Amino acid sequence: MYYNRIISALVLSVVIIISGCRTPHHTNTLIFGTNTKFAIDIEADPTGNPNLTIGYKRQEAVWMPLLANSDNNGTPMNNTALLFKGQQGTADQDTYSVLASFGATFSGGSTMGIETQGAKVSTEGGLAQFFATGLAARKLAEAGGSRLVSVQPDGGVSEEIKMKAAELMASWDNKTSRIIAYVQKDGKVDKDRLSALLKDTGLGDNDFFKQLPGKDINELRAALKDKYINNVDALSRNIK
Amino acid sequence: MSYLAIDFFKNKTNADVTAEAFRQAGRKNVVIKEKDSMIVNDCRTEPHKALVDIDAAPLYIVLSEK
Repeated sequence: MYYNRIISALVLSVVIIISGCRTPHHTNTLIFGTNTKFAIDIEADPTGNPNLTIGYKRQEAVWMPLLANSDNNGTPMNNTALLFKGQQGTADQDTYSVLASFGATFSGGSTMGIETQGAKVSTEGGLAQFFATGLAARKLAEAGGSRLVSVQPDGGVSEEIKMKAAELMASWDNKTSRIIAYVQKDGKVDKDRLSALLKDTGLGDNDFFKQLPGKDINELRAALKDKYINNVDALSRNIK
Repeated sequence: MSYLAIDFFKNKTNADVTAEAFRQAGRKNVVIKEKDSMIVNDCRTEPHKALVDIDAAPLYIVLSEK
């Protein structure tokens, strides 16, 4: 550990020396480096106790393409003369546009004893990382760019979308309950109420709904929760 | 595998939310397809409404396994 610190200090010193301490004279250079180590050690001992060890180590270094605010005399610099810049159209410009993304998933498992009877243990892990500057960074921020490198098993659906989806499902449940309460009579589907419900929904000629009057209300309930779930909104609008 | 179009949207976020709700409801292989310059009549309404008008905005179609 002590030698590592000495080496890190030496490397940092060399970087500072070769880059020049008088920052107004720096170049428009971007250097980005990343080093990630990830390891999973998983085992099941003969007593059946699972052992899981996850190792993770990440190092990152960035030397950004900083814009000089002033020259050596303190005079403000004209940054419009940059050699490297990202431009969209004529008015929208930013620093050089860079996008780098890395992602990986790992999984492992182990079984002790007979395949079907022994102790089983398994796990999985994932790494996600992205680095962006300029217009690429702006676009990512606008479009929810974290999804690009998500390691979520559902394909990267954001928490916000999941939450709104749950709210939508709760809304469907609520509307389904209202529809059922409106259309049922003694546990059966009422013909007149169903007719009123189907108005302007495009379901008037549907065979399932044509044969529904007089049938058990649970048949309609099940259909609204499955095949016709996307018709719940239109049907509920006809509840008087 | 055949797919069933279950909903149409002009707004991508609304399409994402609906697709996720269908996934949570148990529908299999729910995907979103984006189409440009396309007019779809929404047959769930009477008269049918065109979901993409002359501005030819992209249309997001939520599909699931039939």
